[in-house]
Amino acid sequence: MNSTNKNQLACGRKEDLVTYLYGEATAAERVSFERHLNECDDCGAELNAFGSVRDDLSTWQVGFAPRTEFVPPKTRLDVVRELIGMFPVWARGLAMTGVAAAVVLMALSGFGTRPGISNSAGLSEQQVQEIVSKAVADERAKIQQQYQAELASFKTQLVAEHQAQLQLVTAEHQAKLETVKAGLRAEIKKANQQNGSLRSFFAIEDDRSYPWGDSR
Amino acid sequence: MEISDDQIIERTLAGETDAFSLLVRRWERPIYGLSLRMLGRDEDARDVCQETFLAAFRNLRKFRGDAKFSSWLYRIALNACHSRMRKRGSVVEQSIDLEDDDGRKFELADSDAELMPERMQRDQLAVQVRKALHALPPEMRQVIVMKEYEELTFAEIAEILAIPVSTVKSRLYTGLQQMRVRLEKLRTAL
Repeated sequence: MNSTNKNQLACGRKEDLVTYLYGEATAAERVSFERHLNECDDCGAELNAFGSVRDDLSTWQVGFAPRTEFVPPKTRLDVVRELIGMFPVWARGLAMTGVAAAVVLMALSGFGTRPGISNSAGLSEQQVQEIVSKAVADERAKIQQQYQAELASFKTQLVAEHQAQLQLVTAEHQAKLETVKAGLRAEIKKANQQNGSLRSFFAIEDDRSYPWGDSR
Repeated sequence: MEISDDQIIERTLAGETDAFSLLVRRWERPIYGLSLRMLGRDEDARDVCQETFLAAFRNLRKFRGDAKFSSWLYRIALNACHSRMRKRGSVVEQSIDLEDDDGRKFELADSDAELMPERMQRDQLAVQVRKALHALPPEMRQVIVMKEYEELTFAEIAEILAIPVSTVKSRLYTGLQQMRVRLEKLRTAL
């Protein structure tokens, strides 16, 4: 029987056939199917034909894969953090003050505050203004404190860097000075040695008086 | 010893997002190969590759670890391929890249196959394979691609596609039968 154009093998062992074809059959399944192949011409023909198809499929090889440029996407929190980080501390503080004030105002406006009339929370407009003013003042003080702390830190850092630079320059100068001194000592020693050689050559006494009146 | 996929995932989830690049390097080739063979176009395969890794990164917390990471990744890639195929419809089949890896165009018509150098014959056969593969219904094509080129087991393919192993084998059988018929037709046409 020719099963080439049919979707089913008459023996009904198409799943066994592909399992065997791709080498996934267990030892027992393999033996069983090989025994079946001796009896079933359709399966034998199908196996050979599929082997050829697999050979053909193997001609399409993907030789390379382009590099996938992957940059981890930023979360919303990362974006907000980066945005905040772009501003100096005083600006961040100012923004926070604004937000704080807005929150207080929004919270209190819900009580229907009107001039001269107490709201359901028992606060008059004047009291609300006082609360807002206090919140703003507190926030401003906090910013000022933070700013002062940053300034102090910067100052300390600057002084430390200055000291370090100063020490470095002093050490460099000291080293140069020592080199010059060592050179001079060597020159003096050399001159003294030459002087001593000349004296001994001319047999000059050390305690003789020089004609120009200088004596050693 | 090579760091495992699960370890890289742990590191990524712990905040070391750059570690995910290791997974990209490790799996970009199989994912690109799968996408190219499913879609037939290099440009589409590259896009699917990008989409797959991006989707995997964004949904990494949803990966439970009861399946292999690669199976999960293949599933994402296949979904992206299907989505792209649905958008493009039949246009895909008509616009398969007919170039080899060196960018040379394949020429189908040749009067005398015996005179052709072996490489050229092989190239022509590869074109026929591409055409025959792309003429298959996607559900058969994906099984053939995963089994033949990605060398996944029947169980792995069944897990990726969330179908029984017997269905995988059945689809593969039918797919190979159709490939044989189509390849014979293409050969006769030459």
